[in-house]
Amino acid sequence: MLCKHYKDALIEAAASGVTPQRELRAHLAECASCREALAQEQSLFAAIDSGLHAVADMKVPPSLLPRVRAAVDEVAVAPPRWGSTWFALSGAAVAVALVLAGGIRHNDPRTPPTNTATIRPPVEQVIPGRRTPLSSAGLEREDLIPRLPVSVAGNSSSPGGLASSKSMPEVLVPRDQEVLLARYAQQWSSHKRAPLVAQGADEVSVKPLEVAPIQIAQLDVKLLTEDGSK
Amino acid sequence: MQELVLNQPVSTARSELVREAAQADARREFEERLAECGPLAYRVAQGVLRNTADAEDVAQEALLRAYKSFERLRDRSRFRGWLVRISFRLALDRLRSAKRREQRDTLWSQPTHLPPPVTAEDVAASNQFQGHLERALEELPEKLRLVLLLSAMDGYTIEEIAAMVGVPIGTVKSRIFIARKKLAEKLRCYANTIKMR
Repeated sequence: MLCKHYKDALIEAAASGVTPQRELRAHLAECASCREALAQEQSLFAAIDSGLHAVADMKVPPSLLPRVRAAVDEVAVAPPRWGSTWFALSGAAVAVALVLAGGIRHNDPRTPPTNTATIRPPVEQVIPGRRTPLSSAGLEREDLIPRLPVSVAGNSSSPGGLASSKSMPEVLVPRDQEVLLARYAQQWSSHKRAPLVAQGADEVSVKPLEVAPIQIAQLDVKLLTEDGSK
Repeated sequence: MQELVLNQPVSTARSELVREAAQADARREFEERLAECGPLAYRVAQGVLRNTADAEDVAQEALLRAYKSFERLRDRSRFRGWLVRISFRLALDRLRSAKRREQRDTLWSQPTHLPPPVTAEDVAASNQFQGHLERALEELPEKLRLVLLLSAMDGYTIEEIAAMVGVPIGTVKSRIFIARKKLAEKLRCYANTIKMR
């Protein structure tokens, strides 16, 4: 049989490193050329394996692990990533906005306070088109006007204070709340505000602010010009 | 007037301590993995790149990524397999960059002008054989190359390689066999070892 027939078998035997099969062994026993070819193939694979070991088992540089440790340390102490930073900043901005909104709402006499520790006057509900002057409920304006801002906001810093108005203000309420408002005003006028103050609230903090009567200078009456009269 | 007070809860400080303790534990475990698998990452990268500085960079990058993903890689075998694959992938990416390829082509263009040795023994003895082998290794398909590199490293069994690569043991064996045959085919043309009648 021609030796070319055993070419693949020789290579397989050399590559796998196993003992050749019986037929190939018989051929090798009588063919010196194929024995030499097998030896060369085995030598080639041995050289390949040796070279692969040289490639794969390279000596690791001693600087590798310290470098990795330093890089890990940098990562460990690094500030949060941009995404989490942005998230945190967004959350903080929302929180600040909520606090500010709550503070404005708390100080706004037009807005009913939600906290039970504050007085909740019924005069804040204003319905356009249903203007009901407070005077129509038989109340004394001088008793009510300077105290309402104090009772609502708890301080005198409100820019919308009624005492600072140039003209006499009107408190507009729905008709179904006129009785409540009247009762509220009577309590203030008789200094019986305790029922309106929640328990546990600091009495000092809700102390009415004494506001001096508005001093109106002598009116300077001027005649309208012709253009103004138009 | 009601005051709005932003109180930092006590549980925040406690959770901070717990988080720091967990980080310390993770760091300690990672240190163990680093000592065990750091050389492996480097050798995989070196097997692909054949450049010490590049291989070190790749190994560092792979290990750093492993640290960042350590929560899901705490299992020892999983960590090693993940590290091998990411090192191999990063090394291939680096190898494929145009600049490196140009340098490499310049480097590898030199040995081809030399006359090929005559026998397999001569090939093995030749200073050029290693260069030819590495070039042939580079031309292998990626799947074959990774398995062959791992099998050439000391200390890893076929079963461990199968776990690292994530394929069955039989697949690892067949890939090693095919890879060695392909290398022999490429190198045989230099040696011309098979002389048939």
